[in-house]
Amino acid sequence: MNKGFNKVVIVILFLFLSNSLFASTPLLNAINDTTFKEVKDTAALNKLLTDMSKTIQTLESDFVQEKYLSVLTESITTKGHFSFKQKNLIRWEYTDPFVYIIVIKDGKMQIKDEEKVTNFDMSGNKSLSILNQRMSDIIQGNIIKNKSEFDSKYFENGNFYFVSLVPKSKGMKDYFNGIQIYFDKKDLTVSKIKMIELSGDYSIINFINKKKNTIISDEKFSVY
Amino acid sequence: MKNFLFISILLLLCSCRTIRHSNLQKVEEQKIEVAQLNSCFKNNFTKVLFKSEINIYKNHISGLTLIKLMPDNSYRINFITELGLKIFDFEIKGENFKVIYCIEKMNKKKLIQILKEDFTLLLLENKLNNKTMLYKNKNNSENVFRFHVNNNYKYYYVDNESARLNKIENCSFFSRKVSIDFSDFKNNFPNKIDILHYNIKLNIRLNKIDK
Repeated sequence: MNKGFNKVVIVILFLFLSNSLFASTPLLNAINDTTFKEVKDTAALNKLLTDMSKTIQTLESDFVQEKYLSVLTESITTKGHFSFKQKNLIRWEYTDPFVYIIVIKDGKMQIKDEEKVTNFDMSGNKSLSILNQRMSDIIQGNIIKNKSEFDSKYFENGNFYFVSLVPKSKGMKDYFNGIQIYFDKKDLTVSKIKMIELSGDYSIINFINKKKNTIISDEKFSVY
Repeated sequence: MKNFLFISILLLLCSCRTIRHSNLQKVEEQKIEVAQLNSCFKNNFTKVLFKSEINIYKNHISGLTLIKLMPDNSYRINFITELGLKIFDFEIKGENFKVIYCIEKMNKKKLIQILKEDFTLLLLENKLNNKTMLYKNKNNSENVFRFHVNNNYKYYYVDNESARLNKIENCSFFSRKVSIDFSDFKNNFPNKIDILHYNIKLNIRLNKIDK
């Protein structure tokens, strides 16, 4: 059961790793913030984001995740650290208020929940291997050719480019109404992701202390 | 032969039960209010967040469980994954239960029924008659209140010294079905809650998150 959730989770994690993803169909979704205006020249913005993504060898960042539930007036806040290294090495680690780590390396996924480590061989599982393929598509930019996953629309204000994605394919549509991604105009890295669920509850992940192209050893992408 | 088999099974089943509760001594029948059972989810309870896991046969799912008492005295139970994806949202008030939201993969009638019974039992929202049989365990550390409801026996283990509710058990006439253990108390609230099923492979572990 958890594999299904993890699948979705990985797709989300990868969404912001490749700017080239946003070359998919320019379309829909309204935005509340009136400072944002729709980007007309999406091809130029795509090129900008794609060129930027090509310069990323490694990426590190702290993150703050806020979960908004309809039953709670305040959010549930979790914090952690994120590392990415070409090609498709990922470490997504919660440190507060609990420890929970997901790493992806060589088509294998590991989850460390407190002291317990669970391994998933993505190649041995059909849906996971399709996902694996999709992930490398995203990273290599081939996802541009895949227009079946999302409808997207581009906006900008003084500080951010904002991309609004509406899932089209069944896997994503089962969980999300929309996914919104904010790029900092200064360095074109992702600053914020908002994921809106079918129930209307949503999560916001803010990326802070971003570091590009620092040296990250491969060992960081294993847990024991 | 048939009789022998029948008697053997009967003995086996009865012995399970008697062994299980052999350390209990019957004291007397009493009248009692649910409040006297000192549930951590009653008496000034507002909300709590747990790191949690649910194991159902070979399926394992972990995440966060929020239990909140709403202004209308209903409870809401939200389970989300660590990455923030909501799995289910249940509402419980007395024995009324509503699925506000549940992802398709988990929205199976039997499973929902089990979760309904488990959370209702956990929150002491299940119906109890006000007559109970009081037992004591042999070292006299706990008062054990046994309720007979709808062909089931529900046991509530209340610590003599601290008056905390340590354990709930739901048993049929022959065997134990579910136990809920409360442990690692801090400020009179259990940091650990384990819900364990005996006739199906299902358990739920809740570890309180201090924020």
